[in-house]
Amino acid sequence: MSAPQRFLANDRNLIRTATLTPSAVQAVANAVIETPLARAGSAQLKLTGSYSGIEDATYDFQIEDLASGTKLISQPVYTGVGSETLANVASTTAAQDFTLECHSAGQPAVAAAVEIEGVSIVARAGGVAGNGIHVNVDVSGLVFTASNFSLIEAVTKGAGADASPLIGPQYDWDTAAMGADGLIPSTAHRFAFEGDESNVYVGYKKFVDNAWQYFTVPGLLNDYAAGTRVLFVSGSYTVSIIDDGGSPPVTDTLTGVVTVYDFLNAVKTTSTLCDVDGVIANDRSPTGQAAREFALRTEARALLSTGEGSKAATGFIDITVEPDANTELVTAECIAIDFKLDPQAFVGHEAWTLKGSVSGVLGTIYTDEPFAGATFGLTIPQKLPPTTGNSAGRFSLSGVQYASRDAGGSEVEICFAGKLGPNAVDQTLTLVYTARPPEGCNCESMPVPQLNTRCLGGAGSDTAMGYSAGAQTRIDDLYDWVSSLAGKVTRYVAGKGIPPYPATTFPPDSETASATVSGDGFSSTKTFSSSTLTGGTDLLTVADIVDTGYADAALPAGFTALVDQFDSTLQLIDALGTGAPQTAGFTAWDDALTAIQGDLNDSELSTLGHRLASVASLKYQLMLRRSLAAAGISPLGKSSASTQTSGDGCWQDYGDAFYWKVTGTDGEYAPAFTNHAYWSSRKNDAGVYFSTKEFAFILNVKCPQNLVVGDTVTLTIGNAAALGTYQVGDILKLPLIAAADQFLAGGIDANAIQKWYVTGSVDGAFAVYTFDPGSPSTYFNGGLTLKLVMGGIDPAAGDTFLFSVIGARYKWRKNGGAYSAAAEIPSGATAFDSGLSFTFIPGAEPSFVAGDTWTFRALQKWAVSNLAKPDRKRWFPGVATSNVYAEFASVQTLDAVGIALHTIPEGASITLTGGNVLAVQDWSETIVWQAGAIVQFLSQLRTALWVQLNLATADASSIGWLWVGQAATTALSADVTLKRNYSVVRGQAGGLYQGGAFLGKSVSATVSWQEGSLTEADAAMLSGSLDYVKSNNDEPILFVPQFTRPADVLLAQIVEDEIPLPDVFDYNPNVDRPRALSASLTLQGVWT
Amino acid sequence: MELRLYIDPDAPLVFVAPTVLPADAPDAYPWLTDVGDLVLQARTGTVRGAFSDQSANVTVTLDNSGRQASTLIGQPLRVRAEIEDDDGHLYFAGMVQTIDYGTVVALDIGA
Repeated sequence: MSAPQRFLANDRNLIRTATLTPSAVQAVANAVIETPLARAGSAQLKLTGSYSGIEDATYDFQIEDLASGTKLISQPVYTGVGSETLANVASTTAAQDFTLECHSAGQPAVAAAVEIEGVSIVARAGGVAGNGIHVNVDVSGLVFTASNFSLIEAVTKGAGADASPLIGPQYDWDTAAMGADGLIPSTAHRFAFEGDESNVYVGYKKFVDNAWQYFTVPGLLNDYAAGTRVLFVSGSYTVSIIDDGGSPPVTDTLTGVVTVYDFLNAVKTTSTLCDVDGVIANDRSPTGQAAREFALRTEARALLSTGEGSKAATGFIDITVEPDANTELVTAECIAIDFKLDPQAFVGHEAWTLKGSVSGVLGTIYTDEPFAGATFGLTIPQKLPPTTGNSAGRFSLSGVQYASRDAGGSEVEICFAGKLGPNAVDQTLTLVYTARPPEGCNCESMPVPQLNTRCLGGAGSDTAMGYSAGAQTRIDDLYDWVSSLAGKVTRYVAGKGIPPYPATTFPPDSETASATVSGDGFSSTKTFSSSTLTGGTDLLTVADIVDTGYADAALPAGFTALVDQFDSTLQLIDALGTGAPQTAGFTAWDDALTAIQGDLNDSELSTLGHRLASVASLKYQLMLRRSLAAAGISPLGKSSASTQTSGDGCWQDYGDAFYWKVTGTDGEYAPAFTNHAYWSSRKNDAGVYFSTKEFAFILNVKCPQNLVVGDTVTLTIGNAAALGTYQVGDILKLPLIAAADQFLAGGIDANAIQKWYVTGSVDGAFAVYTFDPGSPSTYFNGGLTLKLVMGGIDPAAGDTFLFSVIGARYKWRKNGGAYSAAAEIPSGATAFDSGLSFTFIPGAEPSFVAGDTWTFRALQKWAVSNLAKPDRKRWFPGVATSNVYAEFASVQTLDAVGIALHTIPEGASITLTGGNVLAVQDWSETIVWQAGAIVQFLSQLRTALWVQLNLATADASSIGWLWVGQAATTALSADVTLKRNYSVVRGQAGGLYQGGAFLGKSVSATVSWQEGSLTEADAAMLSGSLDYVKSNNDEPILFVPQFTRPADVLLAQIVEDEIPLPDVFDYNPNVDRPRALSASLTLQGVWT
Repeated sequence: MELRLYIDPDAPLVFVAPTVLPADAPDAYPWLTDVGDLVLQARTGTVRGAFSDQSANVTVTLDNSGRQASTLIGQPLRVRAEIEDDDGHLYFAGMVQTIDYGTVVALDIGA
């Protein structure tokens, strides 16, 4: 007999060591976990599918080598700024690397803009149309009023700025003081400096360190000389924003603009064309927008004029700039300050060479004579030396030497009065009374060709005439017209042959009834006959035509004389040289020519001859005299070809039969006439007299008839050296800025089309991928297929995708076994084992590298091996009818079966079959179901090589622990106490209802062998089981308190980790005396 | 409650309560013994606790009586974890911040 208690611990479980084969195991999804491994390639491998293996397994995949049979596309590698991706990449090309590079990323519309005063003015409409918008500033509304202030001392560029204030009362130009609020009062003066009206400042002052400091906004933009007048500025700008490209053109007119703020605010609030991209602030602090003068200038303008050289050279005055002025630097260099270098030069009338860096040489101008050019005008200010008001120097009659006189002749008293001019130099003048040469011997009327200066080392031209460009044009115009007129009045007389002039163009067909004539007077070749040549209305029919028998110019003598007078008058004006007088003369001369051309127009040829014959000569002669007068030449002085000429009208030939020949240290002057005022004059290169501004005098002789040829008067000039102002080499400068509206720029039209280069490392260039994000298209070319997918960030030129067309071979193994045969990596998922499939995902190059390995753990949480341990891992077949077959190493004896941690439903059929020979069932036991642990003692002691647990109609069944074997027991019974346990979580705060959360229940027991009721064999059995369960993580055991009541079975863990085994004899007896042991176990039921 | 651990982003490990029948959750491990209180983001109200706060977090425990849980999940620090309530709604999502091993595995999941 043995005790009624039974112990079913796992150390006695035959299932633990048996080979288990289930009929089914529930496949599990998401049960494959990759073991991280280092690889050289970037490809990935994914296992998918529900794992249906009966146990956990490991899978290894390895790249065998590279191959090209199957075309795989590596993961495109992207570099760039956009967020686009590449999709649907496929290829039938050879294995190679591909590059997809963005050549043109399209272009979003960009609005044109321009930076004005630090703020962007942006076209409201995007695109290139905005580039045509321009800003024009009209400054005509500004009023510059001379103030009572000027610079006491020179100031330099940058002065007046916040870091470099001007200090001293000399800068207080009714300057407003800055308020305590740090703002510039609105009453602060706007001012500019005379000569630099392009820059307008606002002035204010602050009291700092016991002194007033004066500031300008902005800081001074130029250097200004002492004495420069301060101009107060009022008025405003009118700004036009113009779009000429629209239809109709649009102009926004912004009026009343004074400050930057005014402009920006007007643009923001009223402009239909532009907007302001930036902050607009009505801020009158020194750096605020409302304190700064609107500085944009678009009109043609002159900047501050300056000078170099002497102190007098400070710049031009009276500057005018035409709208079409060039951007250029105008310079005037002083070339003569007295008559020695230019007969017209003297102090206060210096000669200057005027040049423009674009306009070129503009000729010679003189101080205090306004220059009016095509695009600008200016005047060189007259600077006279300081004087006391009296003439400088001494001019006196130092002696008279009378020539010998005939008997009875008397010497005559000669009175002298003289005055020195600014060009006077110390010298002795000798005046010799001389008889005028006979008229026929006067050489003044003889023609003088222009002496070419080329052979004198100059740059003169080779033309014999030597006209200036202006005169040359006019003389050409004159004779072209005259020649044309002559052609118009040419008459052909039939039967007289063809005129030999010009011989090269007229055929020698002289005696024919008809002839072909070409040349002047005919617009084209024309054939005449006798009939057409008589009575033609377009031929001259006046009676006084000289019939030479040839074509002839019948120009009346009065007309040709008039033409000669036009010619000679032009020569006189040209001789003046470049300057305002010459320009005025030319203009009047042009008027005269226009008048005569109008009167003698050839619109009515029938009357032309008559008009030629009766030309109003006096009218045109007067007009020519008017042109001389305009040029400052006395018309009377020019009326006779035999009379000497004066270019400036100072000197005059009074026609006397005698005159005084005046000779100075440097040569001869114009002759002087008795009893007539005389101004020192000399001839210029053209033979025209001009005043030398040296001296003037009069010789008064009451009885001039008593003068004798040879009488000599000596005049002396002393101490005449005058202080000069300008000096030769002085240079005056005037920067001119061309008118230029401020155009907006940078506007670009939107263009969404992208261009991508496609290049293969083997096949080279592929067709360009033209991609429209609005209508995405797939690229097909040369076996390559791909498609761009735009992201949130647009691509940019240079964005690049790299990918490869590749192939490789792989192999795999399970649980560390032998590898499969190598095979080409397929594309897509490929099933390979236990419901699992693998998919290779190429990565960036290098994607596949031989030797790269992937390892996976396939987890089978419902594995049949779970039956071998009493834990919460279960075997779950997943089907209603199932079995698990257990084969032992040898035939085993068994008397009990236990099932724990199961979910077998009530009503399920449970049987255990077994046999001593494989595949031969010897016995079958029906197991009674109960909730919780099941223990059934077999109807008899069974032997078996194999057993099989069969479940039927057991849907959703799972079993955590299956125990088969011989249950342990002791020789003597133990004292057993059962108790029921509940696990309830209770809140600490309690509450009105002291309930809790139920977590589980169990049945526990205490088992004790007292008074030495435990034999040594029992203790050995018990110790073996204790050792096992404790060393296996405190495994629970099945305990049946009374074997005839198997339903009382409980699954419990042995609570104690220290189990006393006392011996009644305290382990003292000899070995031949049995021990009488005691023990006590506390079995804590497993929560269910 | 259901706990999902994304040790493999494509194959989350799923844990349910032991009372859930395998047939009801064949892909899940019935080891989820407790889902602790959800601590929402808490800011201290004391001076001493100034400048400190606590992210929302929740502690879950897995039965590890046979070391089965620790064997399965290893050290899933910084692994994304999701807790779904019994209605199938996402209750909390975060990452595993701390792990305590024992007869249960306690995972602190922080937002």
